[in-house]
Amino acid sequence: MGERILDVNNLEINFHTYAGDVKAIRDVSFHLDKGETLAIVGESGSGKSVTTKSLMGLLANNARVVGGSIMYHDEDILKKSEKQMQDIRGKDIAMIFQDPMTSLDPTMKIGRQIAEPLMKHKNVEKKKALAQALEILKLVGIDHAEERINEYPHQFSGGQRQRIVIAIALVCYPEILIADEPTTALDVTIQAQILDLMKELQQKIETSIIFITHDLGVVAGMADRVAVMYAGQIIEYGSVDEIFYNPQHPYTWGLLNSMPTLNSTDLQAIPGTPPDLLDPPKGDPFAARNPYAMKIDEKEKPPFFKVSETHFASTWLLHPDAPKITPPDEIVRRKKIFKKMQANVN
Amino acid sequence: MAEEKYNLQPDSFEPLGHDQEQEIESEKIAAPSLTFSQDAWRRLKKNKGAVISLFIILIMVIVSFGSTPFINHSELVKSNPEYANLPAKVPGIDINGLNGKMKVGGEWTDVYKENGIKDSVHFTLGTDYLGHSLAQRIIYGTKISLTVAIVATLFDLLIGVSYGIVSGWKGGRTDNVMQRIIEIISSIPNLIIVVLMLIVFKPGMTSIILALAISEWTTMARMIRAETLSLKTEEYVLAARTLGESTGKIAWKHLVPNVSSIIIIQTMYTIPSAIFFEAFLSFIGIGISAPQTSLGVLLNDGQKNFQFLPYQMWYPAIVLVILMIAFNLLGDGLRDAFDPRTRR
Amino acid sequence: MKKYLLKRVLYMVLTLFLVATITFFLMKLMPGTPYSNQEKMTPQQIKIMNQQYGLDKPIWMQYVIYIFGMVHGDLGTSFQFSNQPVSYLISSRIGASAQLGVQAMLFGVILGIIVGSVAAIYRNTWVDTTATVLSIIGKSVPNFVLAVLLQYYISLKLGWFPIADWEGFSYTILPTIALGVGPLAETARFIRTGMVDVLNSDYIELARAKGMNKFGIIYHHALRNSLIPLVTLIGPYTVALMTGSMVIENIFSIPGIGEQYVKSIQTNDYPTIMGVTMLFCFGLVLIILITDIIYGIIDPRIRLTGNED
Repeated sequence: MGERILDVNNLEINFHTYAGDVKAIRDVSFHLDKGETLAIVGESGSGKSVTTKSLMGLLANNARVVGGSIMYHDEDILKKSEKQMQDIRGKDIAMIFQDPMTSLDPTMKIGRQIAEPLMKHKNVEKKKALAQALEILKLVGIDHAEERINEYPHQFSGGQRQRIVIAIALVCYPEILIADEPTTALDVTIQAQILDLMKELQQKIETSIIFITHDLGVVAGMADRVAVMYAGQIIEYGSVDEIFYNPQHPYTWGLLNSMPTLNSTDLQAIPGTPPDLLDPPKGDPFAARNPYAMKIDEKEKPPFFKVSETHFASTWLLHPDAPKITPPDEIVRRKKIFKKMQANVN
Repeated sequence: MAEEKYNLQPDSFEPLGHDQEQEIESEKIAAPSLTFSQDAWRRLKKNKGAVISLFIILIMVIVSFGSTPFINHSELVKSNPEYANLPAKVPGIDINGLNGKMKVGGEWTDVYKENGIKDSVHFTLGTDYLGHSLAQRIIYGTKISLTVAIVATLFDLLIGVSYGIVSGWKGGRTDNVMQRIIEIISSIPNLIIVVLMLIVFKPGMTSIILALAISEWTTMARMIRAETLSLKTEEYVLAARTLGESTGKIAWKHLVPNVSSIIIIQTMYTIPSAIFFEAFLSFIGIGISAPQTSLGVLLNDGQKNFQFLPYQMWYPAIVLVILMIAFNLLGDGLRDAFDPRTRR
Repeated sequence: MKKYLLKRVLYMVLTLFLVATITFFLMKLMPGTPYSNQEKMTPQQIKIMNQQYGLDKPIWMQYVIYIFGMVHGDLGTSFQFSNQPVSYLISSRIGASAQLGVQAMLFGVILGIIVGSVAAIYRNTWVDTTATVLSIIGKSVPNFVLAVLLQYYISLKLGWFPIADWEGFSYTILPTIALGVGPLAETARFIRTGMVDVLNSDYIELARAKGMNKFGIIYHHALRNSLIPLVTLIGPYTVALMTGSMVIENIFSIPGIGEQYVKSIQTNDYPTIMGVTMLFCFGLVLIILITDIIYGIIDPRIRLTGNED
């Protein structure tokens, strides 16, 4: 993989509420290399969106970064002023939002909306910016772009609008593209089109993507690496094959188990609800929902155990003293495939 | 390795063994759930402005209506020329303007002494040009203004709510015709309806009430209709219909609770607007007039002598403004309490 | 679009016709004769006067004559003001009222937009609190009370502006303020709520993600989106200004329509009452039509299809 462009270290973010401080992000570390796609997976409230908003410097007013650093090209984003962040946003780091129906300004022609970042960051005059907007509009696959550039958002369908949002994000050829559940609000058929478009553009524009989703199915075809988040922490990360076929954390098992595959006969839901982050549990946050939980899980937070050079998981099950347990059938099946894959490589 | 710092016990890796009950426990909701109106009330109580306003309104209502046995109209229309145009005098307070003194030709002079009025006589808010106690007239006037506003609002509510529900619930042609009627009525300025009504009937309380009710109900009807229309297509109402519940029962169980918040909020906005209209009409002399008393009449009286006896307009104006502010704040508070989405 | 316009204009005519009819028959229901000095008049004189004003004809005929005249711009003759045609009375007074109305509307709306936006941008700070308190007070102090206070303290005591009359721009300032404070408070509240909504919307978040600065976001995105719905308030403001003009013109002795209306009501001058009533209705209906059309043009989401329900 290419050079490392983003390095998040021990990030901690609290939200101040009337009930107390919600510890939304607890000791999160990950990195991003040039040209790769990192997927951050987790259920709602696990802190994935908060993490990416902190990368953009777009945290809500009541959010406080309590610790850690976000190194972007050896500079800490968290130490930058709002003014400096404005120069990074949209130019070096761009973002695609979840709901294309509400993320476009209803009263502004889409051409102008796409051209805006160019005018802001590259000092391009309006006419030239609109010409470039037209180019990118063609690139994201809007037909009759010459006419449609003068239309308003409500004249486009949901899928088309998400293409326009992508065009806005990519118009300055950013180094990092953050996609926050970009397909969740779309029809399944459109989802695939948008994912294909993103992959295709990633090649053309040579951007790295951080892909936020709760849907593991979307991840498989998209990502190079996967980080699984639970209750404000990353609990397992590795290459996409390692996470899909050699998962180690019981929560990852649960996620994979609840995902429909060709072979699955019934879907297993993960029982219970995530812990209250106002007062997060001392040990492993997943312990209360974990059928394999051990006494140590309630007392101590597990460290990251190394599975391979690229694969780490935070579960006491990987401790040498831990008893051997048998994972669910589906996981056993996946691990078999993983062994075959490795045998082929060797 | 890093494990050294962990406090591992021999039994650390024994299974925890969750049982089913525990899980069910964790899914229970901790706080008791509140009904919609309880929740709204709880939110309203947090809004200081609204709570204070509610108190002010209650006090004004209690004082003005509770004064009925003590202040009667026949007493108020008798003139006492010897006490005419006296400034405020509150025993025990020695602040110019409240001690019976008034600026006459740039000098503070004790008007009570000049007119040879006995020491025992004092008027808390002074007197008007006929020698009536201004305090008594203001209390009586507030009662009339509030009566006009409240009764007009009740009429307005009655017409507007039933019109809106029928129009929204029936739908189709009925709705269409009823909406066109509203459209036409609401493109006539309220003022004109009121003025025409006042010309035809004799100016007075009843005609003001009627005029206000007739001109103000369209807003209420429109809001109720819109809400009814959207409720009608709401899943739970559809479900109730599919289950064969009668229309009347659906309306009572689903429509009334949902519409009631709109009614309450709209009422709180209609009352101050009615108070304003009464004052306005009486002020320009086509509403309630002279021997009668209302806040508008008092303002009209006070305005004539404002240059020389400013207190005669200031006091009723302050009462009117406080009343309006209180109703507006309470209305805002109720709107925010009933619709958490608008709260910020 | 054309069909929609035609439909709207038809409704407008129908509304005006209905108002004219209702007004006419209400006036006929009124007790007494309209002559100010009728005690001194002999029955013979009253009969002559009735003939002169066409009051001797049967009511249906008077009605036909009235409607026919109105279509041709003839609103009848005033009973009170030296037998002037009502249309002349109106046209000689409309200038002052229109100027006052437009000035008050501009004053209120422009200042209201500024106050409301500033409050929304600095929401939940002392700026917001101050703006909210002021707009509640502005909404709650009746304009006629404010007018009397302004006239006394600013003109009489401080001598900054003329006390009354209508002879130049300085004469218009206090009436404009008194009349404009209501729309100002209403606009400020409306813009604040709208802008807070807009500022919390996804497209503002996207604009921030584009790297736009605060000013750019507010100027290019937030302001436009929160201003558009303000157009719908111009109709209600017109009503408020018409109402207000009756009392403000009176207090400041401005020779306008509102002052005329009050005088006509107090003197039972039916033709003038009817004339001004029709004028107010016509003005309001026209302004509502115009603002609806403007709204359709400036808000790309609204399409003028004719079924806005």
